[in-house]
Amino acid sequence: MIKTESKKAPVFVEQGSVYCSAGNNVSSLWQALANGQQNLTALPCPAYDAWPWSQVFLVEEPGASELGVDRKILRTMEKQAKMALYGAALAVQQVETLANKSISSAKKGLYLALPTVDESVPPWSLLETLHEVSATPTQPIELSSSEFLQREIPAFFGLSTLNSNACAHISACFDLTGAMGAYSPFADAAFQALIDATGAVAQGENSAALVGGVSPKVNPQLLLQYEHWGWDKLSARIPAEGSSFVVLTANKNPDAVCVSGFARGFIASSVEAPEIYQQLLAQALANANVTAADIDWFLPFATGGKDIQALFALGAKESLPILSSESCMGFSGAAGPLINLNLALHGLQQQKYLVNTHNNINAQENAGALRHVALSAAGPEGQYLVVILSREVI
Amino acid sequence: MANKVVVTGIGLICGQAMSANELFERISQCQSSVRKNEKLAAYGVTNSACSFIDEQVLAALDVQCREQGLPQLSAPALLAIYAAAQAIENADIDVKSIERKGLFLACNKQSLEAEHLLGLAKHFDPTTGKVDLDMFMEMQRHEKQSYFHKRQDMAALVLAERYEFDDVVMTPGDACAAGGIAVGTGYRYIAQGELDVALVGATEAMCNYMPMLSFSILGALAPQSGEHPASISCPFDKARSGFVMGDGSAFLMLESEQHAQARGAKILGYVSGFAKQTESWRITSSPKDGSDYARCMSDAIADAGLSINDIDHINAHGTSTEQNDSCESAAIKKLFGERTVSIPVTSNKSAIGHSLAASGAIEAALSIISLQQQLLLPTLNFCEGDEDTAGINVVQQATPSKIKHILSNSFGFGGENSVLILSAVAE
Repeated sequence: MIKTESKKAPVFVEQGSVYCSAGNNVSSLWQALANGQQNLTALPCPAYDAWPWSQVFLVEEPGASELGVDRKILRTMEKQAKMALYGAALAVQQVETLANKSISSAKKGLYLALPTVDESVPPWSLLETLHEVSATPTQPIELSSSEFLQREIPAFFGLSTLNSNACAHISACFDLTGAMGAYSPFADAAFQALIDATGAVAQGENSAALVGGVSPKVNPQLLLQYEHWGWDKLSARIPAEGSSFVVLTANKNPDAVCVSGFARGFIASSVEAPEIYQQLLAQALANANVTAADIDWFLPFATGGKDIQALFALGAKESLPILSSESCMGFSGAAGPLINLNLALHGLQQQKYLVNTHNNINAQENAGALRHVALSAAGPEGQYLVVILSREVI
Repeated sequence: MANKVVVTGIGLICGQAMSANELFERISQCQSSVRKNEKLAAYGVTNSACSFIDEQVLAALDVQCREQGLPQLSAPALLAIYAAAQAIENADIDVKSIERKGLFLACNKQSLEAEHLLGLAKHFDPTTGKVDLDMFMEMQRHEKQSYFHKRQDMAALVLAERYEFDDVVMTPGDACAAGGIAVGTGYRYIAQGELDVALVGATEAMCNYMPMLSFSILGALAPQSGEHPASISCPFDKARSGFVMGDGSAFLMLESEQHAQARGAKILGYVSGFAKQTESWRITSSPKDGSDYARCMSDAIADAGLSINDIDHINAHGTSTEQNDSCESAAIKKLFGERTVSIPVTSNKSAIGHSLAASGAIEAALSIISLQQQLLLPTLNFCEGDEDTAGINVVQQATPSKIKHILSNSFGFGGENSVLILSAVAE
């Protein structure tokens, strides 16, 4: 039922960027998690009666100067596209590989995971007008008035809500013209992007790749999704905004961490889920040429912890440290798995890790010898992916 | 060594055609699917001509899906389920029994329709400036107005469950390049030995209120003052002034050649090359000199292990916008040089509209039939090029021709480009 991923040439991964309510770099996020600092903000939109959280994790909407673009360009960007571009800009500042002129821009790729870019339309003023007439059985005149509609609908609506345009802004700003991909809409998309980018670098299609994930923006449409999926009943799902990026390269980087294994699957039946979690974890471990006992840290995302038992069943150490970061910093959708990846890279670099505490506000920091880290990400309807990072022995 | 990737099944629904062969036949006879959409016209959409799928057809597909126990689905999902089932039947394959298989289904986000907008407005309180989400959610449970119909992965997840795709399930959302990217990504997985079988395709249903309005306001849709709907889109013609929208879905069943041969499948054609790239330019246009398009085309040809002299036909992106057709013409001239005048070029979009994500998959399906029948399809409404498109050998009527390799372009808003190379079965 589950295939074996083919072994590829090593692809190295460099720590990139984190843009979230706790800050705009990995160190500040790590520190905030260790200190239990939660930068919560009042919910910025109306909610339904049973909505459980009055505060959420928001980020500021980056402006033209922070994004390094002309103010006119902002008309073509929704908040998610701005979060994506800002996260990419932070990663480009952080990682020299992308600025390396010896690598042709045609060999630098972009792989971006982002949920449905939600439009700002229908604007409230349009709804206000339509509200007056929506109860009438006949068609409201406003809906057939070109003048009215052209006034009410933003000129660039047709472009600003396309995922491809969120990519285009990043490509244009940082001259990335290699093989690419845009992935949607849930947390699993982040590792779909990472795995595809890994393949492209391993096969030589790209020499380097910027891999990013972006959260949804907190608005009434997101709240409707929460109600639909039952996420409003889960304690670790406080909405969070943000973006996160890493850089992949075929060249061994100073920290020498590689994507050593991965696996992906679709769990069509919840009855089979425990078995398939095990199969996919086993496949990723085999792909990385390690066993469950070799894993030094596990960071699942959006799995509700269902895969933790599967990893133990495969022989993981009883003392295996586990961090479900969404318990402490909110649920940031497709940004989340890459935020975890950046935390893992930081941990591998610093030889320390974070584990959840009972209060789910702060994470406990411990020193420890880390070599192999496992990460997972899940979508709401059975999508499940595993990635293994391994640090070279220097 | 890379596996050869074959096409063993095709499924399609587009405009008024319910299969790929029917659509091919219609276009070869210069029949357009572009009609005035009276419902959109009544809503004040001035560019209401499009290649839409009738509401009765969608209603019948909805009934079929409900009878099969599926939940209420969006229009793109209904089209995808129909086209995917047809491709699977055409390939005569038991998909569930295949172990190493993937699903690659391109679709862009859907927007609110006029009725949905009115439904939302009912629950907007102008005095507080808030939407009553409780009432809105209650309404969604009873009416066909769910916010979740906007989800672009709805069709992929339904198909994944139905056919037990338990490995790669991917939903590319790369605007107009997404269909080509879905086909190409599936091709690449098989070529590299990671999958034996891939169901690849795309679906889109944008002939509705908000997309039509937004693209109209953007100036991308062709103005339609008094012209017959079927003659509005005219790719590469000097009179081109924008695209017309289209609905549709198409799927190809891809297999490794070894897998297809082992089960005795009929091979319809090959996917032999692919490239996908981003530009570093503007989000509303591409470099006028065609350099980025040419680079993508060149890389796809190289991926197929071919040279430009091996390409016999180009299935162009050919949207009928001033920008695209000028850039694409420049790219063809830049890449093919003196050969440009001898390479026949077809755009299908004047006959079936531009179905954004679906267009790349639909055009790949039509290209495979061109290879099978050794027949070039005409570009409807092309009469005469302008300064930019002059010299492009635009096919004006169905033309028998010896074709081994077709290059099929899909270029997306924002500068995401994909190119496929499709090849004939050796005689």
